[in-house]
Amino acid sequence: MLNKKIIAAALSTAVVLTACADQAEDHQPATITVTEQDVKDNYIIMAHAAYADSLTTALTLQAKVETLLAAPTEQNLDNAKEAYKLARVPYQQSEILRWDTDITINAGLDEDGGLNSVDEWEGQVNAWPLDEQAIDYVEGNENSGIINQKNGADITTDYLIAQNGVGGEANVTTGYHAIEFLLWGQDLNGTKAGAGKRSVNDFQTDKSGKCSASNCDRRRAYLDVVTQLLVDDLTAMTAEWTEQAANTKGTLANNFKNSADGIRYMLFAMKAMATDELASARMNEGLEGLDPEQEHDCFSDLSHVAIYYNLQSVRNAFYGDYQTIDGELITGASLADFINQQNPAIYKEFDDALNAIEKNMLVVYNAGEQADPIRFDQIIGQADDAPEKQAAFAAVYQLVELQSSFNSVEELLSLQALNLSGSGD
Amino acid sequence: MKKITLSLLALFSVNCLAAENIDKQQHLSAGETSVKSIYSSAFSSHSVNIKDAKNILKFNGGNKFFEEPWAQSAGSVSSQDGLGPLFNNNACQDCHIRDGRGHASQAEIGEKGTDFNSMLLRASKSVITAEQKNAIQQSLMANVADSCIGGQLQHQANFAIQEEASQAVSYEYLTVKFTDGFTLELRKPTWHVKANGCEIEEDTVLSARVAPQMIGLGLIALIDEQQIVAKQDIEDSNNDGISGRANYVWSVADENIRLGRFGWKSGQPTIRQQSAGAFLGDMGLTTDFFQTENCLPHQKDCKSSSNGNGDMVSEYDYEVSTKVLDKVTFYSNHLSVPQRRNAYASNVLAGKKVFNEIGCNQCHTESYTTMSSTEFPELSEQKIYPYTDMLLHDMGLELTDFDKYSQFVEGDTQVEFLAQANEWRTSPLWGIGLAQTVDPQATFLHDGRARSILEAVLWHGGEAEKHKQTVLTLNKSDRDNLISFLKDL
Repeated sequence: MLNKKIIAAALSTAVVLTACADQAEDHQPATITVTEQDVKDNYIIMAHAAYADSLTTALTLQAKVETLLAAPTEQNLDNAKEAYKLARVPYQQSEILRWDTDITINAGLDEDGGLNSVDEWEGQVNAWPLDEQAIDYVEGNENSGIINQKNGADITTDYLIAQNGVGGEANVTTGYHAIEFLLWGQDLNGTKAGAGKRSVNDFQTDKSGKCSASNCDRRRAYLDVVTQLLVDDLTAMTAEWTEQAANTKGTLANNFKNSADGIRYMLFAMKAMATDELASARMNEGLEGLDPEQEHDCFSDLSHVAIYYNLQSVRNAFYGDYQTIDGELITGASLADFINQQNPAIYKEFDDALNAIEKNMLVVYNAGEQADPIRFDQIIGQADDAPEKQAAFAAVYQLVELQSSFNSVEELLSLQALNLSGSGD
Repeated sequence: MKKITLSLLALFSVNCLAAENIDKQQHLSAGETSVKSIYSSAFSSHSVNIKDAKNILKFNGGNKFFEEPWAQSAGSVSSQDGLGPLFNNNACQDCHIRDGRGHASQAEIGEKGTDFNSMLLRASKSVITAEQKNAIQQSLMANVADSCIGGQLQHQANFAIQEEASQAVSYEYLTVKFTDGFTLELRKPTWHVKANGCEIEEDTVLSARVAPQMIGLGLIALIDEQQIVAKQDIEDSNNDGISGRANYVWSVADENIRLGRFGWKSGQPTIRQQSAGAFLGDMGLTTDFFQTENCLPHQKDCKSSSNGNGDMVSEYDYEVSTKVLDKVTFYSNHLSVPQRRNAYASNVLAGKKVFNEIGCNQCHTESYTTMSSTEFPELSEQKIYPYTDMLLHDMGLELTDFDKYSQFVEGDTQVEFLAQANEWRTSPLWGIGLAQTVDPQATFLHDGRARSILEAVLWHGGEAEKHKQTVLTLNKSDRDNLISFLKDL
């Protein structure tokens, strides 16, 4: 077993959001031969860690939401927003696992009573685009959404699940982006600075007399329930990837471990994320100036976090390491090693390309985090020669051009295209 | 004597066929654009010879708008709102499943199937004025819409808007017997339509259409018009029982008459117009092509409904920005056709021979070389194997369009520009063998009645009646080979 855990002490107390970028840049090639099984075993450990972190940060978010609902103050709302931001870090890294594929479809995943479809699960956890009118009031319509159906059904997890996608797929009622909308509200600033500005008094009780919008009690119930559902969903997914699950038929980990197409699955998920989902849907469509809300976290203006950690999901899968929210580095037999020992030139091409992308994505990320931040929707509005916009576009093109490296690897390993059934969001 | 030669050929197929100068490129159904895939994503790749990142991004962008659902107006993603008020579905991909074809509803004996998620009904009047008739004859207009449900029945609607109608299908199950005793079950549809709040007119012709596959469209757009028109034989002057008619249709962009190439009856001249037509007709989304919502005069709730015009960045008087239409058009031009898997296997080559001997290739024309194109260089001058003559043919009574009582109308009723109620464009056969890999629910023919390729073959009538009769006399080996060939496409 090549997997080892290194405590990256220097990073453990640092703010999570400044971490991660550099340690993989000088990836040390393995000194002993790694097998396909080694790579897969390490991947299962990484997958579990990313989901476990997603769950942990979602539980923190839930605690902050409970505090907010108990005492709706600006500070408590800010704390909940900060918890949302931290929760996005591991989740976006777990997204490399977000697609159903040929190896998971009709693979008997219901045998263990656990999750049956990754796509269905994902549609409940991170569906996008989201038409917020299905949830709450919007500019120009103060009565829209489930929250404002005064005499509507009680808001329960079952009800929100049943309403998800009713009357149109964009009528998303659950998941991260529903929580994001509830915490921030609509971002009506276009490409100017500023995210959504929901008043904390939207979360006062009706009887307090301070409710700033109608139906505060229903809004409170909604936020409470939708956060609980996220926790439930992440609990279920984390259970699919535990060490025990890896040895239990019908789990995702076991299915992956025993699939002859495990490496193929890893590579094609990386390709889908890098060249299509991230480069196109989550970055280029916004950058091309079509619409500033064609960004992944449009209410909170935290798209820079979402996209940076989506890139990390690709890097993690390649370099075989994942840094936990506690700063622990999980590392082991990697796809990088597996490729390197067969063809160092292809490995180097891949490694160089990923590092070049990392540099540009870091420019975008840091712009969003600096003292006077330039967020992704502001970058959309920048002149074409602004350094942040140039870096963002450069990253997009480099991500797409990664396709030729993927092609080389596919040829090297004699792999055929794999179906990823999930729709882009 | 001839028979003996044939069986010898079968025995020594590999060597003998190799000696026959077989086309070694034919596994590349779409030339250099063909993708190698045997999976459910087989129809979703871009032309593999696109290398330029800018074009790949354009394709991916189109894919995003093809896949993702559109929201009702005032959605926060303003570039992706404006769905309805009336629509058939809210995302392109939900009908063109994984870029493949849709399906007709299932229904056991005595049941009515109501799954119309990937198909729709068109409607056009047959009792019209001489002036209208003349305009259609001159390709100035497609047809005259029904006053109750319009030119297309939309069975879904936004919140608080009334859907146009409810619809269902039931089947009579028939058994067809081959000369050698082999039998196959067919299902013959009866359509049930009930409009809401008005009556579909007595003279209206309904036409059931399943969402077609999306692959290879840009190549079809580049087949030389002269080659297509040259095969026309409207009066069947060569007496081979096959006529073949080109449809000529109105081109919105050119403000002129053009050859129809796309749609089950070749009712659209370009991929762009076809896409804009689908945005409007199927999803209620206006474009720079078609800027008016398709609400009928009596649909007051539809007419007073808000629209999704413009987006956060720019003002425009329609819902789908021209940038988005550009992307979707680029995407639709470049969906790749999969390579054939076993084009040179002896049974497949033998099946192709049967196909040609029967005369299927009289309409299912094997191959073309696309014209040169500077706009789409990857699609330019490619040797392609779509197996279509791109012409309309009389397919017989059983496949003729019908009225609201599901009774066949007169075959020669014009329903879409020059196309008659009994006429259908020869479907390209490329990709047909992977249709049910891409979506196991996929069914065949314009109305999705055929559950397998062989069922589709046996529904051929009219100009292809003779060919179908020959198929019924095939022995098991020829029949199996024919199917092997079709499944390899």
